Amino acid sequence: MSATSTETRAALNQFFIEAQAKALRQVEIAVGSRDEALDIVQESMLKLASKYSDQSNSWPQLFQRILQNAIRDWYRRKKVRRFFSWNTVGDEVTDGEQTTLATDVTVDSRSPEMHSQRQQNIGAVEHALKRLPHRQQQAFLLRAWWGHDIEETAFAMGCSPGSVKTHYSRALGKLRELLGEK
Amino acid sequence: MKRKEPHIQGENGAVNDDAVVADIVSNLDASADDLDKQTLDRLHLARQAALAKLEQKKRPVSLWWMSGAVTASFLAALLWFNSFENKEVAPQQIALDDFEWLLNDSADLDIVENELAFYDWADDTLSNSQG
Repeated sequence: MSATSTETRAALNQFFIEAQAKALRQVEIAVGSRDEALDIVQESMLKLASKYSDQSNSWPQLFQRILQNAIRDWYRRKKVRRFFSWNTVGDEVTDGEQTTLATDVTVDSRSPEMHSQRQQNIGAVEHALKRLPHRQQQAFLLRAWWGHDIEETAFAMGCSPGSVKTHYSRALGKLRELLGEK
Repeated sequence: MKRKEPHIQGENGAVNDDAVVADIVSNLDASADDLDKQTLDRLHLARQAALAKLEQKKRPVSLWWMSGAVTASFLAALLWFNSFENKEVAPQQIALDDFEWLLNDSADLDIVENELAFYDWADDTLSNSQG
């Protein structure tokens, strides 16, 4: 293996290590299932490595674009599945939520009170985010959590900067309303 | 990944938006830090699979040319041998087909013998009439 490809491999590995947990949570909030989210993240990593490994400066934007497309494809497939088997859709979301809760409970070594408070806060935020329309939710996560600017968010979501502003503004207003209720 | 500061100032004019966003972001960070070992293992496998893909992509171009050339030569040799064999076999098959009726059908052999006697008689008759 040449020196360049070794460097690329190391840099890409580091990029994935830094991005993977946030990407997983982002997708999990979008699709409501950890298993589905893991599949989507893996598929996105494969695509980035196979097609854009030589564009290291744009990896964050490209990875987000790939993730957003994969989430959109997931929603399309879900619509098709719902069309053919309408009675199983409700169960999928419940399964995803149960998976999240089950995995979270098994890991924390802090005191039960702290753990409980932390889980409640995380749960409240996640619940509020899940209640947002998909585009608003993703615009908020990209802008506020990932720290992308308007142009980067627009590129990732495949929409105009004006739409990003609108989605973000509405998402923030709705989140303030939802989290103010708790 | 180091997060850039979110660009929220002046977008909706609300004074306490910073606090709301900071609270949400800290909870999201906490949820990302709390991933269990099983999930982290699966992410590790996903990462390795992606990096393996990178190595496949980086495979030297000369190797592709080499494998392509070998395949092409093999196919050419296969075609050439096939055409050669067809040319050799075809005349033999035709010759055998011509004599198949003679080898398989004994009734036809009787007819040939009878016809030979007829041709002898006809030959004699013609030579007598001319003589």
